[in-house]
Amino acid sequence: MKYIKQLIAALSIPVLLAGCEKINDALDAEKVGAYTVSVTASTEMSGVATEGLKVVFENFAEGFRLEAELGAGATPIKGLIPGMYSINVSGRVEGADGETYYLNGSKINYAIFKNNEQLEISVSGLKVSPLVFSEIFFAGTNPFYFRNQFYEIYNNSDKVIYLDGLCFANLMPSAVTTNMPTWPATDGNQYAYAERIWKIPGNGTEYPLQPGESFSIAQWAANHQLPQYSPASPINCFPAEFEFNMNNPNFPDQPAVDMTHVFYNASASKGTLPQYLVSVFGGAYVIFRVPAGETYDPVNNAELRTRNLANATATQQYAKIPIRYILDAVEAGNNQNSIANKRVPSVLDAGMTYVGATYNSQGVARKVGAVNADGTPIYTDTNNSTDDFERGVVPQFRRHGAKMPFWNHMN
Amino acid sequence: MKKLYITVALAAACQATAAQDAGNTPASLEWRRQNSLWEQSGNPAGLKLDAPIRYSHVNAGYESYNGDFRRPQEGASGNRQFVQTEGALYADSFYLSGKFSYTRDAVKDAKFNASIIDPFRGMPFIVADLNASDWSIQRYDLQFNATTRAYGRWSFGLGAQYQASSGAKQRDIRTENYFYSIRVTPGVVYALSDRQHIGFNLDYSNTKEEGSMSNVNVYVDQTYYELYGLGTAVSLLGGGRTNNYEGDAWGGSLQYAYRGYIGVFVNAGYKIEAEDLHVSFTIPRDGATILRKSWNAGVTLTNETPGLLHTLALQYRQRDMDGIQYTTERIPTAGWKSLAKYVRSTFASKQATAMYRIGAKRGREYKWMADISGAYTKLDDVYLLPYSFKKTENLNGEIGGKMNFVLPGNKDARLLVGLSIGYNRNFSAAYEYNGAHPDYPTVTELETNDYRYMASDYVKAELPVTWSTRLKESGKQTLFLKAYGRYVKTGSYDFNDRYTIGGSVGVNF
Repeated sequence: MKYIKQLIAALSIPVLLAGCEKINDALDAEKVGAYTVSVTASTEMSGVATEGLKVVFENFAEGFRLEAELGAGATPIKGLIPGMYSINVSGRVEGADGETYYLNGSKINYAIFKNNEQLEISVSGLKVSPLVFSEIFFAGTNPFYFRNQFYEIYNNSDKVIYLDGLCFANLMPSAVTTNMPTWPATDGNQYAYAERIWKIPGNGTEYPLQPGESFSIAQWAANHQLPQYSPASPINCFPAEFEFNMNNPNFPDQPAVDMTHVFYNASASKGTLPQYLVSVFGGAYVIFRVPAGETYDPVNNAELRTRNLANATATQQYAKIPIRYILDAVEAGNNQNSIANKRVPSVLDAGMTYVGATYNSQGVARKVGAVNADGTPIYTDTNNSTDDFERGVVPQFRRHGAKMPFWNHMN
Repeated sequence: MKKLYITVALAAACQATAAQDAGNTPASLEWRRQNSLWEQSGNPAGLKLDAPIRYSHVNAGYESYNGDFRRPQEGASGNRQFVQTEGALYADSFYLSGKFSYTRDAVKDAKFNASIIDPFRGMPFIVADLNASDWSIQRYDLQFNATTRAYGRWSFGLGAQYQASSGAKQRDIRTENYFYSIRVTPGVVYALSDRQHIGFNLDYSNTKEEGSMSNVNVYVDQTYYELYGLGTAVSLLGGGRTNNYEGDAWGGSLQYAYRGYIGVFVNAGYKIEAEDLHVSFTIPRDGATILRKSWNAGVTLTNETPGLLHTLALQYRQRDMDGIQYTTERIPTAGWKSLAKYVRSTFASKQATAMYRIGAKRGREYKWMADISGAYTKLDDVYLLPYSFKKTENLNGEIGGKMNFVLPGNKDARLLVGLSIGYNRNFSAAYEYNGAHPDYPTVTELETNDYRYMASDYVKAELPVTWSTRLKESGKQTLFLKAYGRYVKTGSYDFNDRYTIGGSVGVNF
């Protein structure tokens, strides 16, 4: 009997302690209150002041946003709810070289849980891109039709731009996930990591794009609204200038110019996939150009590619794109909360856009900031897709009066 | 189901030995339950002070409900099948009692719940979707209480309860859930004198509910919401997640009883519970915690004359809940780490009730019974930052009576007919949401309609009828057939009514 009592006592103690632990942990929680954080922005660019830059605290999960202007030195930001934030400092400044630079720095998924914390955010400059994504349609059309994905790119500058050699890539992870890849630590913040890269063909002057003109790259540049495809498709991609032709005989080559394939899994070959499908949940896309005089060959240069180090057995190779090459980047996800798993460096895109569902025939379109004298738009480009894009629009080519280049096959 | 049959058979076999000599009518068992104040207090050590009888009872029934006057997470309609059995016996000088019940619920078109079997069990951190869906739910409830003989002035007791449920939502986003709860209540009673006793019991329980959400149609991703209280929600897209709720509770109660011309029973209790939600089993993340603190206190006065029993009961209950949310970060190689936790919401409910009942005695049963009661209920729910609130105050009055007619014959046949009528008056209510996304359906539909339900005036009527007779003139087994109907009518907001009808058949022996 004595031993039974001892056994019962021995078994009871851990149970009782475990019960107390949960309750004690819960009793430890303090009531939430509004916090203050002091923000300082620092930059290595000479002759550039950070005063006047805009700082935005955004807690996407809770839909909380707080915006302020940085003063000289540390700027106190009051009224923050503790939680996970995307903190973005940005603004346009004139560089010493006379070029306009977009200063941007951020902390993504930064936990604010200490009151009166001092926060320093380093900002770096990126030349304001003359080419921007103006419209992206990735969600597809019900029921499960995804071949009408397309990307429209617009000349937002006042100069002619030759598209020849301009590259397009989708970044990894291909869709929003909590299982983020691990890239080589030695890479630092110098690269974006692409799954597949394409290039616009041409001899250097074949495809000029005038100010106010835009062009589109379609997954498959066909009239998707035909009965045999997807009559409910909101878009007919036949007028697209380029297409990602994967040589699938069931979806034959269209009049649009084929993009040149550059990279997939350390090979210049397109592989065996029947289409170039980017996640209908929303991918991350970049356009970039290799500076004159430099060579970029991730197929033959092993230094320019890597595998995902988070998975010891993974063999798939991804191309490293130097961030300084990139002209514009847009990250898309499932919805506003996907930013908790952001994959694009914030210097390229501090936010994320979305349409909130798959196969809903909705796209995203860049907001118009101003209008040129000829009526063509000047698109907003604050390097933050959350702010820069209208979400849930019915996709269309050349929205807001953008013009078609003369070399479009329809002309 | 096999387990169910075995358990019912065992319970019935045990209880068959407990046949007792008289007072097996439905009215007698009801009378016994109403006047067993120690049993109601939850202290098993005091059961023998209720002057208990040996009895056994088994019944099986069916009920159905329908009507739009409901909370949004309740089924638009549904039905329930149940089997219940209970009994008590003396084993030497020990007293043992037990209960078992099995319920099968078919809930039709319930909304805003894709992750938890019972969305009203005090756990606000659930996942809601927008698809009205059926739920299939099974519940098992097994209880026993044991009371020792007196050791001098001391008596001891032990109570235990095991509840298990499984539930499955029938439409994407589907979920398959398993719930269990184990509760242990050891108690002690000390006799101050023949007429005065004080008691104390502890109360420990452990609960767990696991839920796995998924889509059968993987081509259509569903919009769903992680609820944080009062409409605050995070919208997500896909097939949901897995939820792991684990809770522990500690409590204790004190009792004092005096038997005299006026009987006095005083009780007071406190319970504290913490229930954690972990999201995902593979890489678990602290989702939220609810901390519940419950108080109750009451006094019951009784006066028994040769013909009548008067009962006056005053009770007060309060439950305060803190909704705790975590700030977490994902560390690639180490999973989720909690950096901080905060009380982000508080949910408070208070209820004060007063009840007077008079019953005319006839042996171990009653001839007739009448009662009148009133209840004041106050809800005060707050989301602290951004500040939102939902508050209601209701006053509820109810009057009822039962007649236990003796039918001709030598088999103690009875017809027990009751009627109760109640009226609920809301005299204060407000819901204000100041958080993000006020256009979310969690605000515009779920919380708004829940608030409207809480803030509605209504009348309620209930009519139970029970016919019973001994199976043999010389036997103790009493067969009963019971039917009941409940109707709730409101004119508040867009609601109309809700009804429940049901019936059961059983035997007391």
